[in-house]
Amino acid sequence: MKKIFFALAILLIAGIVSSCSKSDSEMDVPVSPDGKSGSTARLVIKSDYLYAVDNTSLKVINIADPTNPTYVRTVDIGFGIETIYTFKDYLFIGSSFGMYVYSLNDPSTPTRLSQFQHATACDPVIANDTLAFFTLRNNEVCSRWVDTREIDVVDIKSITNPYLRMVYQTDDYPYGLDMYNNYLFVCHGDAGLVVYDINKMLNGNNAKVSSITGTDFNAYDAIIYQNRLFVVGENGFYQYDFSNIQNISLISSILKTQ
Amino acid sequence: MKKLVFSTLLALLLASCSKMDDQPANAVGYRPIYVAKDLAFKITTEPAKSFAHPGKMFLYQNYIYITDYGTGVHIIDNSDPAHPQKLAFVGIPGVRDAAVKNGILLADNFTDLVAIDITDLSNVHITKRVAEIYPVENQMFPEFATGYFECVDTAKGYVAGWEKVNLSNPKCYR
Repeated sequence: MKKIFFALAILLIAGIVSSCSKSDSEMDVPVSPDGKSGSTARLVIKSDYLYAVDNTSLKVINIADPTNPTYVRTVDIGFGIETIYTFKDYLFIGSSFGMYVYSLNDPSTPTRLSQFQHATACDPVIANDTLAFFTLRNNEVCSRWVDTREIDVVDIKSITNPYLRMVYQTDDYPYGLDMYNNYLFVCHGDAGLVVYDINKMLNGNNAKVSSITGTDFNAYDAIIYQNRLFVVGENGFYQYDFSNIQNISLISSILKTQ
Repeated sequence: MKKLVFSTLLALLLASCSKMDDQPANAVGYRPIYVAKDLAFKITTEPAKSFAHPGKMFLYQNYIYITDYGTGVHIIDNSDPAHPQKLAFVGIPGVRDAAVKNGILLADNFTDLVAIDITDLSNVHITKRVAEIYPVENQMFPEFATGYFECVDTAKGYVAGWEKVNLSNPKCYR
């Protein structure tokens, strides 16, 4: 009897473990019938609607027939709006002062669910089911008060009540970012691109996994699409194979000089 | 005591005023790159060309669309990832962002949003223009930088981009 119980327990544990790893591997696999924009985008498409931000507001445009886009409405948001990102039925809007989350329950009328405020800084934002990440830097346009170079991790399990989970300091100013499973790909301008381990980041450990650097290589935005990493910077465009995360390899590039 | 408060306030007020008047004779800053009004809303097609200021990416199936800051969008065929091929350049003055749905390129063109049919690259054409979506006031300063810049003269046209130069007597500051 004990043996049967033991065997059942093993099966149960195996089931839990396999279901966990399954959901992990399915997470964030980029199936995007709408195509994919980068984290620094100010215009995104979500099925029949296009959402565009300017400095203070969000414009909703119906593109059910993309040859004939029609203006629907303007939603006032706040000052210093910089980026817009979609995940599931949410819009994440990055501003100089924080992040706003809007529901697309009715896609023609985005409604504010919550906001998360931080000190003034530039901040593209991305998100998954449980976490939102934004990069903060205080240089150039964002040169205010304190020198800042960090990644903020915000818990959004309760989407109406986001809270700061972790601040991760980076060596260099961060710009655009994307993620894949447990990895965060962050552009650092002239310092290249760095891959971070999200679990290590959440535990407050050194989370650097690997990086892409090089003379004349700079990175401002990164997108994961079709299991490849796409990077754009001042000097051109690059795509990489990251199946070996420790040793990301260049597939091709189109440089400015070409 | 009241006098002290008053004089302190006055001193502060004067100090802030003098700071505003304290314009340098020369400073490194940004100068607008204008597009004349009659050219600002003209969409063009050009053969593939080099990047000038590669900006944002949009990925859709085997295509890559890369915005060239203020001038247009590069269309790239990525069917063979080892050899991505630039197919064409769609000139969209003032452009910052672009996305594509069903062969229609949707992009900002100064104050407007334009829908451009790119299904046939030998016949690229506008299908719709949604006017006055983007406020022109937001295009009167370099959005990516702080510091001095040459004030925009709207009589010269629309501002497609900014170049870093030595400015004499800059009047505008952000």
